[in-house]
Amino acid sequence: MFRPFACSLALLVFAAAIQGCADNVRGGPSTTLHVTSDGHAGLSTGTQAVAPGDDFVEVGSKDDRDKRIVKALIVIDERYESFVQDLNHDRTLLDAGSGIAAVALGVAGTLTSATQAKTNLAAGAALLAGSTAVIDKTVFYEKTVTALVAAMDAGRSEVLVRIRAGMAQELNVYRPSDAWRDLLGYERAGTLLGAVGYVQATSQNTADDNAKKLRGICDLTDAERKEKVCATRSLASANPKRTLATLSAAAKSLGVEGGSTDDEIANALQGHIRDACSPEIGKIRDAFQEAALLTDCDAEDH
Amino acid sequence: MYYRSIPGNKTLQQIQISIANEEAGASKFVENKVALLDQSMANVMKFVELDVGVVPKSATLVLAPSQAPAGGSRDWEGPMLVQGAMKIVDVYR
Repeated sequence: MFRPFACSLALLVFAAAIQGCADNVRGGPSTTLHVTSDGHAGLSTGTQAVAPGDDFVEVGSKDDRDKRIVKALIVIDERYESFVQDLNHDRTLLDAGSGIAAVALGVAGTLTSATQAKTNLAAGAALLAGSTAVIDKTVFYEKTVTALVAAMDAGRSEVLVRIRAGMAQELNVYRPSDAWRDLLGYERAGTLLGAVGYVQATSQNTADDNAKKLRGICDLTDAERKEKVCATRSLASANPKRTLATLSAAAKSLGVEGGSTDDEIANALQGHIRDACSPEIGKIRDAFQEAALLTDCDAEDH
Repeated sequence: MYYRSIPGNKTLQQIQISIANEEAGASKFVENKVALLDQSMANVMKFVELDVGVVPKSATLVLAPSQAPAGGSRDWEGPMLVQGAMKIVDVYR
């Protein structure tokens, strides 16, 4: 189904150009969580809604609750898949020469009209990527839609885990109201606003909890991983070779500084091992061996 | 607590090995989030530092839904990017 690009991407209505796009004001598929007038379980079929959540209030057993949850999930997923297909379809219709409709990422509230497209896109890129680089609008749209869809998938998966865990619980533990709230959250996670919120939350948590620059996990060979384990175990207090002298010698050899007691030096060495990649692992092994600190890991192997 | 990233194109086996590589330094996997890093989605894993000299029991990663391996119990379940696709993964020990 053809949908103009402006219509499919706008999350908030800032300009008259995007009127009449009900799904896109929400920035996601229409909600499915209504009770129809004929009492069908929690699924919107286009008939008049009675009241949201009524269907779940009437749940009488665990099986009944779970069946209604499964039905709701199926419909929410169908609507979501259709929404994502439309997003991707509209991406291919982008006319680079005609200007781009405002990408209203409501969290920032700084993106306004199509006449400021390039500036808006840079701001949008900054919002999502945390940088201030100005990038080509086509590239931006490509990456943005991909990133937002992935963020929606991630957010939905997290809520789905919670729903699944709830379905394993008895009715008095995972109540119908809990299921209803989670279904609303599952639906909301499949919207563009939900995606931006997810990206913001995960980016902020990472920035808050980790002072160091985020780095990747080191690739190690099997042998290197075993050496890393052995070096770690050598620092355990149960290792009879772990003395102030051997710890100090190893630390000096590796250029690791950190305190004067055996515990302080062991902590500093452990931090060094934790951050070590190849070929530092080999140097640690050699330093521990030379300092007579290395435990007999073959004897300890499980 | 600290974070490490793993690209989203790794296989489940490669991710399991990566976790083992990190845990070899007295750390333990806590959870994973899929996040936007450098304009592409990746796995961002949270680890907790263990006491000096402690290496946790090996983690086994299985796609959900799954059954616990013999003698194992589930430590965590959640989303991970596996070979570019969003999967629900169970971590057992």
